[in-house]
Amino acid sequence: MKPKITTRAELIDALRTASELEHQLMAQYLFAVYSMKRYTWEGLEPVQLEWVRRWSSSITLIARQEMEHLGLALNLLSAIGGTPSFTRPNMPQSADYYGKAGIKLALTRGNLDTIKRFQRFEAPDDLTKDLKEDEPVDKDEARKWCGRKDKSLRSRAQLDSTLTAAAHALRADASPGLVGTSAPVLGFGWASVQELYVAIREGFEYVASTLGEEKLFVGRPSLQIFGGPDSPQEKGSMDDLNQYEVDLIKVSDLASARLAITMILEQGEGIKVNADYLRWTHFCLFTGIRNDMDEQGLGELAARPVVRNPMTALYPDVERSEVTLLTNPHTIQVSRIFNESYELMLLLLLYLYSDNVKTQKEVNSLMDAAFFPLMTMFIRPLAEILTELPAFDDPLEKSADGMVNAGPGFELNGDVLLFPSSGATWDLFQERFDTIVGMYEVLLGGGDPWIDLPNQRENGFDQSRIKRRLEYMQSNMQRLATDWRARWLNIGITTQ
Amino acid sequence: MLILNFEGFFQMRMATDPDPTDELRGVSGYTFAFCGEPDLDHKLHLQPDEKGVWERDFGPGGGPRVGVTVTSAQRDGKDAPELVGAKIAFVDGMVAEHNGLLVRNDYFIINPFRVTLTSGATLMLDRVDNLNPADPAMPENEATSPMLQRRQATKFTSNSEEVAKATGLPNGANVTLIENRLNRKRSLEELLSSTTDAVKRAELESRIFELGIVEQWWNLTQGTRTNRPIDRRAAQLALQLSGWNVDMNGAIKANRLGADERYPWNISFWMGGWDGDAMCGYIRGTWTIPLKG
Repeated sequence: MKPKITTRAELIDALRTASELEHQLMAQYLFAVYSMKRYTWEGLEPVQLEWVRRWSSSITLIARQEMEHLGLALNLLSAIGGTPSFTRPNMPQSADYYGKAGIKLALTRGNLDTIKRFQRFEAPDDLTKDLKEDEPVDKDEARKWCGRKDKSLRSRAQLDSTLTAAAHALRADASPGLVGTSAPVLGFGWASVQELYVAIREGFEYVASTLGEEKLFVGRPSLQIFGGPDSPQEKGSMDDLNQYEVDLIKVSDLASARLAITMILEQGEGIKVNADYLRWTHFCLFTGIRNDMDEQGLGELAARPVVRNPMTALYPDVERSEVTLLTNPHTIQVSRIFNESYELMLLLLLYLYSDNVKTQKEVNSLMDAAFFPLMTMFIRPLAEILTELPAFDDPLEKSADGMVNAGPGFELNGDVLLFPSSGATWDLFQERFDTIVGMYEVLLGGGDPWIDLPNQRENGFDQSRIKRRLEYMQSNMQRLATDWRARWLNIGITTQ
Repeated sequence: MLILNFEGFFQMRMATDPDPTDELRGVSGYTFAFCGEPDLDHKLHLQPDEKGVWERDFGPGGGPRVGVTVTSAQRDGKDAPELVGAKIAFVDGMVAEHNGLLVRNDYFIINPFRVTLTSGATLMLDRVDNLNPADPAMPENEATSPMLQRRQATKFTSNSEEVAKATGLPNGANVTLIENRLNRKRSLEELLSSTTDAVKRAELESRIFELGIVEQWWNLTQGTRTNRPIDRRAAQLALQLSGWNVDMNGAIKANRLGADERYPWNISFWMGGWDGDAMCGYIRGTWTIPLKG
C-alpha cells in the first residue's frame, strides 16, 4: 500500500523523510569517496590511480548533487511552511529502515560492493522491482539502460508528463485508510526513492487543489537557499553555488515545486532523459564506475582498508552489531573534531533556513562560514585524513573483514536544533568555533603520533604529512573563529 | 624612474573549487595532477625552468608556453633595450584565498610576494613585500583587512577583449572560448591516436573528457538543451582579474640597476586567460622602480 498525501502535514512529513534520505545518501557517498586511494605509494600503478581519480571525481559530483537534492527538498519544505531539518539517525541502520525501498544505511569504503549498493539506490524502478534485498541491479540491464541512444527525448517535458501519469496512478492505487492518518516518516510505504518523489509530487498537486496554491505556499522564498542571479545569498557572484554542478532553485509555487521534483528524478534515476544527459545521471555514473572497476580488477584495491561504520561511541539508535568502535585515542580525537565541525556546519545551514536571521549581513556571514570554509577546508580534509589513520589502538588488531583504518562517522548527538534564544545565537556559535580551536590545540599540542605511519615522512620536513595538514586546518579554524568574533572585519575586499 | 613592462604566460598547478586549497591531486574541481604527473604545488611559476613546472603536450594545435619577460623598459624616460627579454619571477608566490577564509569571492592575494628580475644569468632586482612590515614573519592567516586589501585584486572582467588579444584569441565572446576548448580537445584526440604509452594515454583521455565540458550540462533550469550557460572551464579563458597594485615594502636582496632603496617599488598587473587544461594563465603588468639621484 502506498501512502497517499492529502494534507500539508503529510506533505511536510514526506519532505522531511526525503531530506533525511538525501542527507543519508550524501554521507554514504562522501564516506566512500574519501576512502579511495590518492597516491602511488598506496599500491596502485599510475594508470590504475587515474581510474580511481576519475571515479572519485564522479562520486564527489554525485554527492554535491545529493546536497542539491537535500537543498531542493528543504526548499520545498520551507515553501509550504515546514521547518527544515538536518536531523537524521546515525548509521548503520537495518535494510528495512526505509521499508521496501531497501536502502541500507551504512558507511562502507569505496569498493565494488559499495558501488553496487549505490547503483541500486539510484536505479529507476523498472530495474529494481524484482530484486531481492541486497541484490544488485543486473549488470547487463543497467548497461542497456544507460546505453540508450534516443536523443529526441525532450527530457523535462517527457519526465513531467511521466510523473503526472505516475502520480495519477498512485492516487488510484493508494490506500484510503492512510489518508490523513499515517505519518509517512514513521512508515515508509514506498518501494523506491522514485516512488517517494512521485508521491510527493502528487501530494503537491492534491493539496494545492484543495487548499489553493496561494494558501499552500506560505513560506518566504528569501528563507530558502538557492543559486543563480537572483539568489539572496551570493547574488550571482564568483562563488555562485550553481557553478559547481548543482542547480539549486527556489520554490514559490506549484510550477517551481514540480520543477524541483522533476530535477531530482532527472539527475538521479534518469527517467526519460535525453541520451546526451543520460551519462550524467547518478544511476549511469555508478553503472559506469561499477563496470570499469570490475574490468580494471580494482574492486577491492581502489579503496583504503577502511573499517565499516567507524564510530567514537555506540549510539542507541543504530544497528549496534555493525558498528566498528574506534579505539585509537588520537584517531578518536580527530574523529571528534570532524563530528563537531559537521554538526556546526549543519547548525549554520539550519539558521540560513530560519527566520531568526534578520539582516543580509547575517545571511552572508552564515554562508561565508558554512559553505566554502567548513565544507571544503575542514570537513573534507578531516574525512580524508581519518581514512589514513589507524582505527584501533592495537596495531595488530583488524576488523572481521581485515580492515584497519578509520573513517568519518558523520556522528550526531541527537537532533540538530536552533538555539532557544535568538539573542545569544552569534555568541553560541562563537563558542562552537572556539571549542573546535581548542580541540585542535589539544590534538596537536603534543608530539607527532603519526610520524611512524606509512608514507608520512617527506624530505625536508620534520613532521608527518598528517600533522602538517592538521596544522594547516588548525590555523584556518583559528582564522575562522577570529573572524566570527570580529564580525568579518578582517576579510578585505569582497566586491568590486 | 625605471619602468619595466612585462607579460607572458605563467603556470599555476593548483586545485580548483570546491577542492580544498591544499589538495595535491585534484578531485572535485576541474584541474588535476593526472597520472604520471607530480603533485600540484599551488605556486605561480613565471619561468619554465622553475622547479614545479610541468608543461603538457597539446598536440598539433599547440598551447601556452610559460615565460614572462620584459617587453619594454625605460630608464628616466629613455628606452632601455638591454632589459627587454629579462625574466620576471614571483618566487614561491601562491594565489591565496583559503576558500573564503582569507579573502572572499576569489579576490585573491599573492603570498608570499617576492619579485625578481633576471637578465641572462644575473639577478638584477629582487624585492619582497611583507603583509605586515612590522612583522615580516607573520602568518598570512593573521592578516588584517588593510594588510589584505593592499595585496588584493579589485576587479573581475568577463569576456575581456584585452585578455583575448593578449592570449591570441580572436575575441572574448563565449562562442570563441567554447570553440577554443573544442579545438584543444580535437588536438589532443589527434595526439592520442598516435600515443602508445599507457600512462600518457590515460592522461590524454582524462584531459579530453574535461575539455568536452564547455557548458553547464547540469544547469537544467537555464538555457536550452543545446545552449546552456558557459562552463567555467571555457569562460575563464577570457576572464580578467585586475587591480593588483602593490608598493613593495620589504627587504631588497638584489639591486644592480641603481634603484633607490628608500622608497617602495610599485608593481601593478592583471592576471587572466586561465587555461585549466594547461594550468596556465596570462599576466601583464608594470614594475615601477625609483632610481637613485
